[in-house]
Amino acid sequence: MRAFLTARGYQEVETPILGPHATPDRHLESVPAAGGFLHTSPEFAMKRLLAAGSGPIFQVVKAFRAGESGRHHAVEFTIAEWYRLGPLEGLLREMDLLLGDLLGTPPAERRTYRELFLAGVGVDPLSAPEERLRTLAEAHGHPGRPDDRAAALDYLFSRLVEPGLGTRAPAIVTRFPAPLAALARLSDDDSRTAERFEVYWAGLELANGYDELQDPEEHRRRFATENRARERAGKPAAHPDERFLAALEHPGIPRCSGVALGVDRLVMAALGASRLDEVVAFREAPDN
Amino acid sequence: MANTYATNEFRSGLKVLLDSDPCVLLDCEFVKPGKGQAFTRIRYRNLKTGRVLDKTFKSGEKVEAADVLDTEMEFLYSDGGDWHFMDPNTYEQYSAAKAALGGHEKWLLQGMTCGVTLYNDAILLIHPPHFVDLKVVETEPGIRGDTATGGSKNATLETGAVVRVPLFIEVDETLRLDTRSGEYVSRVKN
Repeated sequence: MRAFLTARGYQEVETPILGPHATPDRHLESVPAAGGFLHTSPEFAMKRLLAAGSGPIFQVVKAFRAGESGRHHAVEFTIAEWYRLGPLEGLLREMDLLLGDLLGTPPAERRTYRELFLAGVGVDPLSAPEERLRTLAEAHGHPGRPDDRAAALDYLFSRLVEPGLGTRAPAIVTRFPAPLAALARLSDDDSRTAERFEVYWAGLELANGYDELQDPEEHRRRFATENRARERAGKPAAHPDERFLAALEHPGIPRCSGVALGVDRLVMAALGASRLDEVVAFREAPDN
Repeated sequence: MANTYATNEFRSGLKVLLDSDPCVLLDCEFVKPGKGQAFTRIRYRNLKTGRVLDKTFKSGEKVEAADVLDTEMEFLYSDGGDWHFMDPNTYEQYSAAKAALGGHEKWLLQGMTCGVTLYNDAILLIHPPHFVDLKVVETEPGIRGDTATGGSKNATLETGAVVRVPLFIEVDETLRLDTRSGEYVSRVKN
């Protein structure tokens, strides 16, 4: 992976694992350490490097997410994260080449979230009424009624679409619905979708990437939305990383696309393993 | 306050109350789609009905522990309506209704040690030994030298169970039976 990225002009970087901020992501919990928190991904620090003019960069680093322990999850795991300048297309092509290089996979199949959802669930994820989606999710076993549109979409997609993804060839799912944008920019031609993608192969969700949101105000709004959701769920709100937000304002990050790939899962796919434990020699961290 | 388990404590074998029935977890899996919410998906057996079901929990949800204990007891006798067992350590006697036997009553012989699942200190389920040795009390006369054809006939055992046995089996012979399949395994030398 290092050879692949270095040959394409990426510079390897290192950023701090321990920082002052917890993630504001409503579905992630940072691990507290030494008065601060271990990072859940190197995203914000790497974007500060991009704002400082680093150009294309990559990093292979441990990341930590409290409470995530299972067949495909561990609290401590390895992320490969990289950013290139420009819109998503170049990154998607490179991702396909990288998988072919490392895993010998056939060319990836690209599908939009909407077409997959229509085929697997039978309703339009962009236009179906929220109530319809929440009712459907509950009917398919969601514990209680999902809180909102994003929760209903996530659940239905994971139950009815994901199991069939990436069997013959890696599947690249593009154009996620706007409520699932995370930190991706909205599509230029349709504000109901965001330029986020995910890669599935061998029954595993391998990677998640964005055409990166640049607008600092929109970042603030999305962080505030996450923190409101956290408070509703009884979780502590996370202070936004002001140095990151300041970098977005000045000088700002260039138009760039980035992706995070689960390295442990990549190794699982390469070896045909069905559990993370099979490819990780030490699994001794407490689960909680 | 009853003892509870959070989803991160789930593991196979755990006994919990689901839908007000005692259940045992068979399989549990942490699932977290994309950047979405985390769930714990379980497969469990309802110990009362025997049915195997699936259920999804939000991570962090809690369920009540079921006061279920697996132990061993000696079968004493049946009075026709109930089956009576004794804890060999305390000599305490327990009775089980037919539903707890699950059709296994036909293998039980006085003095036999059985697995017992207790729920709230009452018998919920009886598990006979996987293999039991029982004497034939009635069967057609044996036909020697016909073992190659693989023919079979019915034999009634001392507990009343009727099983298919090879043609060469005779009355008064002791047979080993597999209680899970209900099938003849072998002859046992007396």
